[in-house]
Amino acid sequence: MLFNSLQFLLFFPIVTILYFILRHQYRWFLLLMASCLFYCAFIPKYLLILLFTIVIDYFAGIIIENSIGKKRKAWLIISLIANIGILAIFKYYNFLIENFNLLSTNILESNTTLPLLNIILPIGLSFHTFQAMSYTIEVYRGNQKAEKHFGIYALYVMFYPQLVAGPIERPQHILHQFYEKHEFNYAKATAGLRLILWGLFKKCVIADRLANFTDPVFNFPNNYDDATITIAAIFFSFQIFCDFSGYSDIALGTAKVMGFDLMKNFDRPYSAKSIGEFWSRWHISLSTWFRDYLYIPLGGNRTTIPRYYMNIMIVFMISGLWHGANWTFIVWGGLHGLFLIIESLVKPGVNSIEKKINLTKLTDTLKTVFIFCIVTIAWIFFRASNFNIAFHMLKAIGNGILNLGNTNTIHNVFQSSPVIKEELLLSFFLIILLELIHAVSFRINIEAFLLKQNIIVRWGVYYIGITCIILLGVFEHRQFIYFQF
Amino acid sequence: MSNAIPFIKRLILFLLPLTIILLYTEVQLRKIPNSYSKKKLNLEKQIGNAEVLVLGSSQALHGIDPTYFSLKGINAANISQSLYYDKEILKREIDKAKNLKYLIITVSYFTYFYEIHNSLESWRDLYYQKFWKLIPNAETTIWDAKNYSYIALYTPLKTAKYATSNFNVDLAPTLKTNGYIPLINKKSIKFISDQEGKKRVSLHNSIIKIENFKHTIAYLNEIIEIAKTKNIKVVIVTPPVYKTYYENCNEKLVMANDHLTQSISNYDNIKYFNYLKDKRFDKNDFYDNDHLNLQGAKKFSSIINTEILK
Repeated sequence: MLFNSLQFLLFFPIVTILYFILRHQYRWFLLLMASCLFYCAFIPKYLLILLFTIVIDYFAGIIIENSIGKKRKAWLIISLIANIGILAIFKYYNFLIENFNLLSTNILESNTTLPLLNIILPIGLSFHTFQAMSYTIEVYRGNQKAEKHFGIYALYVMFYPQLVAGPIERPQHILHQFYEKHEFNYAKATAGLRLILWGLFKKCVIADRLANFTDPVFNFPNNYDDATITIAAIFFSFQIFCDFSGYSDIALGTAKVMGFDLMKNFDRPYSAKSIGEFWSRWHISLSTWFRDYLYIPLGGNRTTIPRYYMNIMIVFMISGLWHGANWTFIVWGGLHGLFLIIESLVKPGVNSIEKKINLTKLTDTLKTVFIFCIVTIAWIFFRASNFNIAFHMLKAIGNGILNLGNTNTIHNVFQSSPVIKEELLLSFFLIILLELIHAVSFRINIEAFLLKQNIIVRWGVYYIGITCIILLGVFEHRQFIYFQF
Repeated sequence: MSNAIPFIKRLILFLLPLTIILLYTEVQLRKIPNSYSKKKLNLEKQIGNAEVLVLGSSQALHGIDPTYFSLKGINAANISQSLYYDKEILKREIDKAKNLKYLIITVSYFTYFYEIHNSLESWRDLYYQKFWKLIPNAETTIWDAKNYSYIALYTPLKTAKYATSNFNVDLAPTLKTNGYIPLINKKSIKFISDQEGKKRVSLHNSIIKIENFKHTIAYLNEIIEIAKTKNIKVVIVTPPVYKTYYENCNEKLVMANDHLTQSISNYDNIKYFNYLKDKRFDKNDFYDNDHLNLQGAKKFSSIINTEILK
């Protein structure tokens, strides 16, 4: 079930009303059933896969807690193998076999090829698998007590607001909330609805509108001129941000209305002045997951310099692979790892230059623009379906930048644009509006400011938001990009 | 739950003006005439006297003006109309078409491989359902707001535009009573270029689906059978397109289309005229890469009259 669908428009108020009508001891059951129904809207039979890992991890958690020594470790490994195994079969098996077959036929010149599986990736598999893994790891580390209530544990994995695209929660943060009795809270409910409104605005108005431009260009770049391709690359950076952060906001808002607090997943990432800062603002629940469960166990930065760099590359390439079973995703992750290594190398030099020239605002702006540019270049590998398209686009962007001074460029963009002139201008306007809102939010707390205003102003803002979503929104049941992961 | 009552009261108060505005808009939108409702009305009025019925997609809609026929004709083609809806419209009207002598079916580059329900324009199914009362040939989801809301059907942005005119709009103002809609060049000469032609063909390539073929051929056969039972002559016509379009087409597909139509026409003893690359049409006859303008339509309709109807 998509958050921006008619189904969810009915589902959400019904579940919320029932949630507050029911007595506390039955609410977990309602939420679990609602989550099953939410998931069934995609492919019902894949509920069985979820059930399989839930059962294994539930028992693994209890056994790990009650055991000592090798048995603890053995059950952690069993749980991790079960989770990663499911991920490997559904997400990576065909990728591995395709590569094996290519190697076998093209390089080894052998006739041995292995068959591919005709399976569809269960929606949100990577998200709930990682959330399930964090549970057994935290129980193993002694940071979390094993959950004895099977229904509550199942709800931890399946809680519908964050089931298919996160945030990837930690058991310490969310499990106890299922036991707490949430009375209806006016402030939390309105705050949640505001978040949903903002999330829908980002998804339907900005992300899906930009997709009207980016989709045809990324699918058939040969049909478009260099400037149009350059704009498509920039638009995609904003599209993916609005798509994913919009989803996260709706998830957070939905949970908040019922009294649950989910972790923040995005914090204005394109304001980052370094790649390190970008990753502390982008998909926070995933980057902290990799930090806590992969980077630090590998030794983090408390090791030799070559090992430290290797750790960075391992983490980012696996992060790329987590996003998709394609070499383009691995390159995307690898590029970010490389950027981070280069950043750590040049940082002392850049800092000393900054101190000498003492123009903080200017250098901060330049750094933000630079980080946005390199992140945008990396996104090309993320979005392009193959390397030919990615390299074609990179070449076109190079040419596009060289021709920026050409007076015909704007005319050519309007001619070559896959959308009409008005829609293109609207897309630019929406991006500027988004960045303005982000810039203002660094100076004032917009929500607190709004709440200080009288009801006419507040409701006026909400009406404008709703009107914009209805009038400018794109409702073509376009899935959230991150659902595929 | 009692502490939720102030919230619920406020929410109702907040949603009330929005609900009233939406309901008013829905009522007003239902009164707006569009090409589907107007064509249905015109066809129902004139089918009894019509001697020529034209079916097909936008190339026929904008390219064939029955005014230039020596026989009384009516154009029931519409934008992106598939063979399925050609068949359904014919089935719906055939018993009333007492004087019908010719049935002109236009076949474009994509026609044999195109169905509305699995294309980018699947929303058009709902237009046929709502205005023509024709049942789509694929199941529609109950979760599509377009099923219930005209705001969703027309899109909210267009609805807002209509609201600024107090809903006093006609969505097919240039539609003639014979069903033809002229395309008049203004600055549109810019639409004709190799790049635009490539984009247009690319769009059409994207709606071509091999799995549609067996269905579309069955629809065409059904059309032919219906016409045969009523002694109506079926003529298959491929309308002209500008070279910026056909030069970017998949040549194998163009040839396959031609051979297929040729074999259908040989088998069923029906006429087939392929004007795809007809040299009598030049740039001045086109509105864009694959649609004739007013002048082109006059020329094409006159050719049909001379070469087909006489």
